[in-house]
Amino acid sequence: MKSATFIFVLLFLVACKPRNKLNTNEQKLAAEIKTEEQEKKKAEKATEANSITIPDSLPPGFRFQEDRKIDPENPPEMIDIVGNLNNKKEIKLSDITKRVRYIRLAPPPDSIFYQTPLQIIFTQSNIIATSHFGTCIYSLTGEFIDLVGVTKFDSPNGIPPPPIPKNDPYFAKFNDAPEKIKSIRKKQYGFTSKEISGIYENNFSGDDIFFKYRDRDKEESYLMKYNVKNQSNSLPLPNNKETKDLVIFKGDKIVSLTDKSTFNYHILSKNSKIGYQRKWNSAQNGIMLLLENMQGDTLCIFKEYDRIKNYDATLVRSVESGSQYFYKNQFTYRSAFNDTVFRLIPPNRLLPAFLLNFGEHKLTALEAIHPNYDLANKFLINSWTETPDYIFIRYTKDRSTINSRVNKTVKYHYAVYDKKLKQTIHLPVDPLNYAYEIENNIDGGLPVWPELITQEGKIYKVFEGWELKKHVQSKEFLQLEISAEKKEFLTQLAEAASDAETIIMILE
Amino acid sequence: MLKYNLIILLRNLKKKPVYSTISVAGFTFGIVASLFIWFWVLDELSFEKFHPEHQQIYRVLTLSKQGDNIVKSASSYEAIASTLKMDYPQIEDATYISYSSEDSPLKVEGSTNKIESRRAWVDNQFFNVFQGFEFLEGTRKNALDNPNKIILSEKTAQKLFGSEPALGKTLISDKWSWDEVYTVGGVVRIPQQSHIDFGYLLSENGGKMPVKYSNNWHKSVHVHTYIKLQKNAEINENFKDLVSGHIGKYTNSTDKLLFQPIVDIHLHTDYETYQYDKNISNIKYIWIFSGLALLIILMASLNFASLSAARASKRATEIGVRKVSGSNKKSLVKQFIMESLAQTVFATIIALFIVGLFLPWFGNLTSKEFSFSFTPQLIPSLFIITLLVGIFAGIYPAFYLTSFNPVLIFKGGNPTGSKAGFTRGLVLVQFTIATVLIVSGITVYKQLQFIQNRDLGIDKKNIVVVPTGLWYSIKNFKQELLENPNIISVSASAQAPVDYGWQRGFWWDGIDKQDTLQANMLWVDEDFAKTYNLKMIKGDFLKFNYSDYWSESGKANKSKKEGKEYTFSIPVVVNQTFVKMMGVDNPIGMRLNNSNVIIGVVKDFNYRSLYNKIGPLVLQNSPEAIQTLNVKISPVNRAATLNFIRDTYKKHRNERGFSYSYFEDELEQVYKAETRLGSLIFIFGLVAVSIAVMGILGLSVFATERRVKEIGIRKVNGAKFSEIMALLNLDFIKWVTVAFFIAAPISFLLMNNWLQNFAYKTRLSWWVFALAGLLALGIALLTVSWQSWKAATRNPVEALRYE
Repeated sequence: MKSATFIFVLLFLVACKPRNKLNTNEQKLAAEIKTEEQEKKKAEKATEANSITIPDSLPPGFRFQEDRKIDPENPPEMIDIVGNLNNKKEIKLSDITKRVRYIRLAPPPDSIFYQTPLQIIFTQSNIIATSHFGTCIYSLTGEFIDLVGVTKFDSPNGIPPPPIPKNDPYFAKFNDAPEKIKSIRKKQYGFTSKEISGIYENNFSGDDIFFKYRDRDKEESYLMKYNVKNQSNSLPLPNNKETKDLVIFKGDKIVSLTDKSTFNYHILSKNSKIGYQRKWNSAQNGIMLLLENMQGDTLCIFKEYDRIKNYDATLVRSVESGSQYFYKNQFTYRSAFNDTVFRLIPPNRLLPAFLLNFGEHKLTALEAIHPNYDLANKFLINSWTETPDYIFIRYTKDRSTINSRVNKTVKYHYAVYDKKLKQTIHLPVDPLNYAYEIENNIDGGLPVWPELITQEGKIYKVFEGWELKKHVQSKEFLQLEISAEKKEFLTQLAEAASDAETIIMILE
Repeated sequence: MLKYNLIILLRNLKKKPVYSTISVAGFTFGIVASLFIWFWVLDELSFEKFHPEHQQIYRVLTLSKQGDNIVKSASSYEAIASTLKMDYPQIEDATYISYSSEDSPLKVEGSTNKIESRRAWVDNQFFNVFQGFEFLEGTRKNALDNPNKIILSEKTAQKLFGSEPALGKTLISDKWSWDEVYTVGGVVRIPQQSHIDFGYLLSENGGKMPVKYSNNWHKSVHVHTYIKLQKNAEINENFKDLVSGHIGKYTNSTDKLLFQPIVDIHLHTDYETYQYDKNISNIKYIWIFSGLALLIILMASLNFASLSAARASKRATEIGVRKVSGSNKKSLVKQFIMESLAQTVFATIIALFIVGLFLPWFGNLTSKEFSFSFTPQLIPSLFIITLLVGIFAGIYPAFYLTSFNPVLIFKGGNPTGSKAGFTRGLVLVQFTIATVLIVSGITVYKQLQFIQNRDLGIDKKNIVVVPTGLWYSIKNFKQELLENPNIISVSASAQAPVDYGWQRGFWWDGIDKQDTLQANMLWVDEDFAKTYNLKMIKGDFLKFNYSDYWSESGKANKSKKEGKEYTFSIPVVVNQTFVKMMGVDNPIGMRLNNSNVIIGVVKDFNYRSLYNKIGPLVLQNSPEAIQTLNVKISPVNRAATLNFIRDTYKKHRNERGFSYSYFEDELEQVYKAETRLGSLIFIFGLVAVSIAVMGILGLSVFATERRVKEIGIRKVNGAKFSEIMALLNLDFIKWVTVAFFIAAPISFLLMNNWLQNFAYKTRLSWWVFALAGLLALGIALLTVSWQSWKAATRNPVEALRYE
């Protein structure tokens, strides 16, 4: 009997031995596809809605009337900040993502791009790397494709890049850059009078890149379109003055822009764009958003209700600039100091999507901008990042400036709104930790505070080779409980990268 | 002791030759059938196992939304192999194979002998993943190290070079309008147990039109991707989530990846494989035939048990003597099990001879190659089968016979009472099984007849199908064929409408582009309706102006190169189901995908096998897709007409070899698996019924022997012949009838389930069950009546002589 029991147990154990099988759940994946397709459909409908056309029969001066009503079937979600000040929960990167992937940007063809850290923008098909000195196009895997614009400095008396402030914990990491990078960046550089003064973000254009070309001498600006596949080069530029320098601009002129306009734009569709401006301007002229066709005809004005009249100060305080981004192809907008986040449904609908509750800590535009108002007890949004599952909000109590940070009078708070659970939490972070980022327990790489998202809503972080090198040599990294394989991967990545190389970490 | 037991066994066998023969024959039949099934099942389960580390190899499947459905397929994204390997350390290797058509030509340099074979492109990892493809010439390491190298399958090498070595020889392929020159880098053997099949392989960088898929995110049905996991790869939920969503990482697609172990491809493929996978079967057949083997063995064992129990009274005295002489129960049990085992061993030996003799025939029947040898798998399997059958068959009689009371035996009474219940139970079980098998056999036959006789909505008779390869200028050939009065019609198409599963999404004004209707697509010319006798419901069949087509097509290609859009409308005909799914009354004039315009509606016809319901279909003329010629010929002078077609073909297309088939034969090929299933069920059903017959024969012999004196007395007292027959037959008839009522619902459930595989199926008519019941009863009656007749016609004096 004993032996029979033994055999039975043995057979059971053999049968229960974990099998190293790659078996995926078909039903679960099918359900995921259906959900994603529905989301995609919604996003595509939003794109279609963005693509409005103006009937020929519209009378001159016709404008759509704005509609800011709440949709009773999809009322705005409340993000209760004050009500959850004590609802604290620690999160790590594995709580919000499954893996991280790295893209190494190939070196740009001109070392000028190393002067300042690159600003990285993801389009549907490309990565755009841009700086004060020009704009490069990369593939989504980091291969260099083309230069769209380079403004090589031509004047030794030009304006140098702003110095990196010392003793500011917010910028502290830049002081750690290797000497060779610091020395490059200390050089006195200036700019030509021609520049790409802004990349217009959009969610529809595929291989098309829209940007604003500006000639400061002539006070001319154009809305330009550059197709990565065609690599068009039709911009008629009188660049004889700069022939000794490398001045390149590529693209097709779509329309002239008013150079003195206070508006910045996001492109909604092939025939429409949405303009927004700084709070000071909108509070003055009463226009929060301006929907225009590509020729600049106004289609709809969305009014600014937080107006400033009879302003009596000589200074205007720069505090925050609101939020403007595409979420699933819908232009999403939060006016600075405002507690409502809108989604735009062209031509004239602003749909409230989120309401922020700052309670008594809320500010009006006047209080924020007027230097006489005390902001010590007020909340100001410092960064707002929406992904399909979460909204990451970093806000400050008091105004965040170099002085307030150095003197440690400003407090930083980190909140996360879980869209599925409809719940707001605060992270248990020291309010004087101005550079807090979520610990990367996935591969032990650099920590992340979500501030940048791709068109698909994936969070990404941009850093340079020397930052990764420093990280993998740190004591914290060596002591991390991460598999040796992952550590080895990161170490190799750091070794392979040059100090100034741009690396993008994408959370997937 | 063993010696005495053997002597007793031999004496008993000799004393009762009928019983002995029935027992041993039953065992032999059972073991033969089981061994055949064992060989077949083992072969079915051995697919892909010739690849070392096959447990780590998976095929990458794609799950995607098509219309309203989520569809699984082997179609793959071209960049998946390279990116999977790059992104996941758990994946040791990844590769793909990109199939081309099977009419890709190849010839030896300087020779006119041209063959056609399936071409495929692979990347350099292919032979690292699939190491089971044995290199008969060349080596795996250097196989495709040069873009001009070509790897031949053994069959292709034989066709080109016979028994001569092929390595290093120069081959030329003129599939396109230029010659591609290759050097043979190896010859590989593709085992029968492989789902991958090809004529020759090229490097992904090879030829003038290399595939170079490493960075191409387009899904293709021609591309199949495979991965090989690291041996001890950490497969956790996180990895599974990531790897399933791999496509979303590189594209905007919502498609997900699934991973099918390659060993599961043969028996567990539940998705469309188009024409690329070879030897796809179904696990249900393993269950069916394994069950059948078990039933046959069970029947043979029950025969032995029932006959032994029936003979109990005959051996009662022997048991009594042995018990009185001091034999204990244990030794008696051992003796009976030994007897059973000895007979099983004997039956196994005979069975081995029979299997050895008939294995080639069985291989032919099942289209497999079996070789009989005492392999390390066969010997233990044989040992286990023999041992289990021997013990199973001997265990009941052993305990039954040894439970006799010796006192009762010597007093002359019935030592254990009547065991008729047991023997009746056995008749019941055996005839239940036999009836189920008879119903199954008749149903499979009926379904095959249904398939063959069903009106497919097309004329399938006298149509000759000629594969032509891609042929843009087929017009002159068609015209010349039609000059022959025995040729009624000629139509060019991409393929004959046998089992064509190619699908494409269609949208039209008024529907969301994402809700495209997935429809099958047939490329045919304007004479297709006439050749296959299709009925038009509305509008016209495909009218076509070829010069316009080529002109517009040229403009479109030019615009495409310039990055501009240029669309032109091509007329299409849709079937009734398509119109129904569109939900419109009159689709004539409606545009599909902005590039087609509907000009006619054709009556629904079966363009796929009857496993599939008639789905939405779009017929379009595309001169760039012609690969087949469908020739409707007169039934008279067929040989001469075929010769004429061949000669004309050679005149117009001498660069290609000529081959043909009849459309009806091609249809039959589709149901080959079912035909084979029918044959196997028939054969094994026959074996099962034979064993049942032997069982009932043995029992009837015993019953009549036991009642010989009773019959004698009844006859002396005036009983009629019919009364004696009824007396002896009635008991068996009763139990066979009960068996029928048990078998009927079981077989109904089984066959109903099997018929669910077909979209179009025969009815499970009452008469099938009635016929099966009558057959079972008839067989039982014939068997029993033979013995009853012998008993009833026997002279009663002989029976009562000693009373």
